[in-house]
Amino acid sequence: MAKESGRNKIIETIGLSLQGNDEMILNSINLVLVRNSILGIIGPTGSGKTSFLRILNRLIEFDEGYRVSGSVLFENRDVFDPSVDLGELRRKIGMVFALPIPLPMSIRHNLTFGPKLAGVKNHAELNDLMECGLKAAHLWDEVKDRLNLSALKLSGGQQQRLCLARIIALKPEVILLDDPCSGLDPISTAKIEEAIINLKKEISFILVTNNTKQVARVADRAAFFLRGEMVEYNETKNLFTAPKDKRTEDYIAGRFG
Amino acid sequence: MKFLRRNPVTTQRLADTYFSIMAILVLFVLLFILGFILVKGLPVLNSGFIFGIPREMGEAGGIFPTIVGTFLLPLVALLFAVPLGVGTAIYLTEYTRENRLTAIIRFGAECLAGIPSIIFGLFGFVLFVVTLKMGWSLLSGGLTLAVMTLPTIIRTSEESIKAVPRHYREVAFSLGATKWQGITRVVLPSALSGIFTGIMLALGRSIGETAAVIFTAGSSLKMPASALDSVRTMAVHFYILAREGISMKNAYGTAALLVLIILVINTIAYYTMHKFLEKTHG
Repeated sequence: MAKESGRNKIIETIGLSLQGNDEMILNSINLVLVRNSILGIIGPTGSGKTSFLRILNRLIEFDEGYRVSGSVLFENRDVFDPSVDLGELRRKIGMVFALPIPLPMSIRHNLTFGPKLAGVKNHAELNDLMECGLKAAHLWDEVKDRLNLSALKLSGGQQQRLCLARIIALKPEVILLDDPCSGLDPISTAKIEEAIINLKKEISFILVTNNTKQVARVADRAAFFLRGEMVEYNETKNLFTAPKDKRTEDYIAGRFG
Repeated sequence: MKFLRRNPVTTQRLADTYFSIMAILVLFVLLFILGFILVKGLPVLNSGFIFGIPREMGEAGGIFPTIVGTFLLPLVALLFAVPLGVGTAIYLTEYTRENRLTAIIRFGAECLAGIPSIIFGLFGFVLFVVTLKMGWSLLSGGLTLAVMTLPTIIRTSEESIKAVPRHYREVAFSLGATKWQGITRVVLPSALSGIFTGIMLALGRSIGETAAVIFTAGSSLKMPASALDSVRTMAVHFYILAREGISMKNAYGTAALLVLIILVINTIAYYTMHKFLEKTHG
């Protein structure tokens, strides 16, 4: 595995562990997200992938009874440092959830919700951010004439792109995708994958999914998680064509999962 | 009864008929009460009655001060009860985990909800009127009604805040919201219609209350000049006119106007709410 220089690492976890109520959910994960790349994480349900994402932007603190140890460096700064502004952190490390969750307001307000919290007041600027987000998420053409429509009225695929657009409007450094296409049809999935690949020049992604093929299609590097351990991490093509670990090979081949 | 089991279509028809009759009966009772009051009361209503000052204990003249009292007293009550009640509900749902304290608060609210209003009247009399020396006043009455309606507001607000999907909070946080921003910009707007229903219930109870009001706000027929003046609400006025046999005619007039006012308030309130929901939920 190629060693990345410090400048290229946007996120690095060192010995990151997550202790749940009575079990270890993540066990000493060392993982690097390279700037302007897509890192795919695969693994069966319950392997700790989602928990891993939720630690990175500290959304894990929303849950009860967990203890995190080890460190997460974002742009060489520990995200658990007391001086970190949580709002700022979460704006820089955005997240798209497995279920599309539009807020119960108009498309426009969904898009300007985040920027307004960040203190943007200027109307033209808010509109720019909204348009930029919707365009990058390939949703603009479908909704530009009905921005005041409730976001709840959109189709599932459109809602998920709205969620992606909502994050992009915040100009994040990293976007965490928690199985964003799990409930979507192949066409909607393709639109989201296309959007992600186009955005790679500005944003770095971590894509967690049960869909192994999706990782093979879009990710530059891939990691395989199993029962809270990171079994393997490599360039995507190496991981898929020449897995070093027998368990990775078995999982990719579909022998368990 | 054998045919019932054999023929589901007949059973269904019988059920349909039964439910329709029940619904019509209830509607009939409601309309009868409403009609009775309006028929007896409407002829009394004229501008002199509505905007006039009562004379001879209400036997003659109008009822204007009691209309003012009817609006002011519940307003004072809501002024205290809404921030307290909604605040408590937010605390219970957003700021604590389930523990002994929340259980006690919830149990306390449940108990309060079941206490007869006259007990609240007595409590308000002892605490606000006598001990805190507020006398029979708008303030004493308002505070008493606030205590009385607090459980309703807490329960309905809590239920509607709990019904807001947990995901909305996570999304708000993931977009950089602080807890306060998440609550004020996502949770409360989503819970608003439920909270509003609770407030309307509290308002209705306050407007119609007599026992607790007589004990704490008194029954002065004068126009209140300050929060420490005694007031008489229309419900109390009706009670006194009828009870003391002062004037049944004016009692019915007061009742009819009270019913109309409540109808108007409810219509306006629900219309406004509907407009608001339409705007946010599309």
